[in-house]
Amino acid sequence: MSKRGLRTEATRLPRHGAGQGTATLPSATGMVVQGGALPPPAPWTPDEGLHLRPLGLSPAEQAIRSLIEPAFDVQYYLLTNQDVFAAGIDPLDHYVRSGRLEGRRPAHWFDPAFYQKAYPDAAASGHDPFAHYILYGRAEACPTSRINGPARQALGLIRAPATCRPGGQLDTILHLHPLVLVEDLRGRLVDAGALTVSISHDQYMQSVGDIQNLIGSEQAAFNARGEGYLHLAPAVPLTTLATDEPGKLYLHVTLNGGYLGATTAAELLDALAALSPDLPHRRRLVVHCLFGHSVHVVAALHEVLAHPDLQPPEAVFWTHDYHSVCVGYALLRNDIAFCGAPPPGSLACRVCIYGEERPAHVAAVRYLFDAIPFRIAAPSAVALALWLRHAGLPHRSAEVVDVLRLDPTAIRLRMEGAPGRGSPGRPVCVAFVGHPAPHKGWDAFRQIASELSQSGFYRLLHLSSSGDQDLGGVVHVPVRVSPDQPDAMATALAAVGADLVLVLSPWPETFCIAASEALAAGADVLTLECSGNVAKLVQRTGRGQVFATADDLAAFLASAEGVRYVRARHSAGAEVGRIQLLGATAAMPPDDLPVSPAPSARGVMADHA
Amino acid sequence: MRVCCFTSLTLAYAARAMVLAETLRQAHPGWTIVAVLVDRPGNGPAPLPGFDEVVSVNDLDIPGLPGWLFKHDVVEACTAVKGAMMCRLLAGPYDAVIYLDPDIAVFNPLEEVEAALANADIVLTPHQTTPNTPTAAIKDNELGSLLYGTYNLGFIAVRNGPTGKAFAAWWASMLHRACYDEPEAGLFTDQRYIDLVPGLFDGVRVLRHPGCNVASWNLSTRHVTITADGAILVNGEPLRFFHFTKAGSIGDLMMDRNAGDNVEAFELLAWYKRRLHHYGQALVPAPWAYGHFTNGVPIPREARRLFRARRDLMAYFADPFDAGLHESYYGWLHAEHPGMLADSAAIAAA
Repeated sequence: MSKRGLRTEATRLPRHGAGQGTATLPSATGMVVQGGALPPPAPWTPDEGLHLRPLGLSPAEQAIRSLIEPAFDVQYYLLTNQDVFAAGIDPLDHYVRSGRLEGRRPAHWFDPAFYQKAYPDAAASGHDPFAHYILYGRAEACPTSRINGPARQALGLIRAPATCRPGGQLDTILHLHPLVLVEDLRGRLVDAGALTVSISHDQYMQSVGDIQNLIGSEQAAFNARGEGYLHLAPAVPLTTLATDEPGKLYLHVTLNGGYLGATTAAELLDALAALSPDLPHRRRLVVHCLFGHSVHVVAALHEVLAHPDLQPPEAVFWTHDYHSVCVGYALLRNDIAFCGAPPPGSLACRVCIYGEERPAHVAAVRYLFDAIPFRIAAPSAVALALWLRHAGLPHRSAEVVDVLRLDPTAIRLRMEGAPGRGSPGRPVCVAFVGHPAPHKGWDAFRQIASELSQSGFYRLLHLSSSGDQDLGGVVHVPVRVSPDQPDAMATALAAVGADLVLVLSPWPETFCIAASEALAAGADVLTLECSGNVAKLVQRTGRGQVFATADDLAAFLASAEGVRYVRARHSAGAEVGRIQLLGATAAMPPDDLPVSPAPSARGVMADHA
Repeated sequence: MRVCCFTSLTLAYAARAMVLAETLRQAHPGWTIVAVLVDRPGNGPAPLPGFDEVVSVNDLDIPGLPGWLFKHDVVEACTAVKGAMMCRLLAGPYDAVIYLDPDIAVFNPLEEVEAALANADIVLTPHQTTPNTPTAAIKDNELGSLLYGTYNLGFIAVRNGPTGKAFAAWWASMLHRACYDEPEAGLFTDQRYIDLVPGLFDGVRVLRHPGCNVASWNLSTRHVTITADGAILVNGEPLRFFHFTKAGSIGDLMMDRNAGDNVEAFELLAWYKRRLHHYGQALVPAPWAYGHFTNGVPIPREARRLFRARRDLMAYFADPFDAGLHESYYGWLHAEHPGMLADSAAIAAA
């Protein structure tokens, strides 16, 4: 990457009460930075100052041109059709000559394919759809594009969680011999200062994701204190609770970050019971995620950790999502809209894909909370408020626990001329970060990508661990964030020069490391009002824009507004920084509430016998 | 109030009828739910879970049933029996009889309908309750209503009394005479007749509640919302019943045109399709029993129209479904109008 023309103002940002100062640091992109004044942004729009070559239309084509000219969006056409822009062809001439026959959009608000489908008489008329709209459809106020397309598309794909269980047999797993399990645990735990048993939905050392990284930081923090950390993940991944009996429920066992193997829940409970007298006296159960776990096994786990002569083991339940409120853990009704957690059995639940399974799920979760007096740990105030309002579950206490901190590294970047960030001639780099899932807004991103994929003014990227969702016009950048490389995503975002990161989550995210990673990399965040903690972060930092709907956000990008915004943003400078994961449960203050007898989970196993 | 609610269907609409029964039962567990089956089940009455009684079209005492049925296509036939069934049920112990199309789902108790029946003999729901402004919506609604009828006959409620019985008898007689899809002749099955009802009968109540008979065609003026406390509202009022007309085909396109940005309406449609799939899995697809001659050749629409236009044919061929080559309508068509059967025969052969 060229260093020419780059000037950077370096400013030490306030940090934990520190005084003002300056620093000259290598930026995250590896560019040398130095102080200086900010220049005014140069004007820039796709059609500004261009000399566009006419095609010489026939009289018939000229008639069409005259008809549609007032409604044709020149800037949009150039923005979304790089070949036309690069060839320097008059965009309206191009549309009349060939674009309309190729199904290209003449404006963001007009989708020829939709119009033809909605109005078969338009197709039969012989007019091209846009001309038909000008002649007839506009006067009749015909809709011109499918609104909420991603949501409509998602509706066609939703499946009830119970139908998503993997079939067949387990993959080959290392089944620990019970004696080996006991000896492994004994050997590494007897001298530990305390024991934390944590459960989540997958093996945090192998999988990639926000929760996995938090667990990694939690394990590291506890280990650093000389405490033992035993993690349990289901061998069969589910998004529901498991209903298998303990003898048939396989769990992956990881001890202090090292994978031991798989065992049945029954064998694990037996091993812990046998070891109980020798285990550290201070014991803790931490639930990060219940996917794939049996509430009966978790309750029994808490009971087996209890020592008759000691205080009951501390139990922490994290609200990383809303799985304790509904089997649809994101509270996305039909995977498209935040539902607000209405009462089970309501009409909203009846028409929701998760509604049928919710009553049984909620009853099972209730059983667990009746059995264990949990401390509720919420990764944000948004998550805590929502959980307290809707879960209706008994708990010992509830608090917000910060899981990460964005440490500014005291750099402000600004550009002076091409080809740096925000420069004319340099495409605006728009990135989607992480798993391409509906609850992360992937469908909305896909729609945006389909419209902007041929634009020379935007460069679309998808940064994630796997690139199995191939999108035309979107470059996949493989990035693997792991406990030993927590900054990998922020570093990658900076390296590719991301200007904007789209966080399109249609539900109130409890936390979202991707948004913080964007800020750390010097990118701004475009998000939605309903994104919970993300919208709050953008509003608090002023680093981005919050839109009412995904369609509004798409329109922002499809106009030159997105480009202008980035130019203005970079001319003002963008802070970069470093993300610190704080250790999750290890960052919680000691539980100083008076001890009350834990509700007994005795008989739990008998229920399953 | 003792209420009987009935619907009319062929076996192809069995899954839809089961959704109707399921949702109606949830809203009104005390109502009697009956179906009239305009089809020929293989062995006795078709099992329709959720219904208290299934009445065969053969049990409606319709004179000259085969010839009369032959005059109708499937939609016309299912509609034509509604009047006779209404009369039959009004002769029973009910205080009111309500008809609902099989492709309706009930979401909340029909409180406004029950309240209206306390003071009215006949309750109707118009296709539209709010004027449209865009020309496209006017074409779909105002002009559509002028062509096909002001009131949607996916719903009608009748109080059991002298006026209700008089209405039902008149309705049944009109439907027996001509329940045809012939807008050019001023007919659209049973709907255009009902335009005359406010002039012919006292005690007519036009129910304009926005939550009643919500459908793809009126979503241009009715907005569905789903609230955080779990309610489903239409223009701020509770959704009573949704009419999923032609869901999966032209109804989806109509929703595209009229519902536009109202994603919640599409959520209801997606739910409805899931329920249809749920019930449909256990069903064996079967062609309509009255859709073909006894030799399996589909009956062309022109053959039905010709038959019902010719009194001599109706008088001569008592069972026009018979496909014998002699003394049959099929044989007569074969000789006199061979082109009319050619396509159908090819379909049957394929």
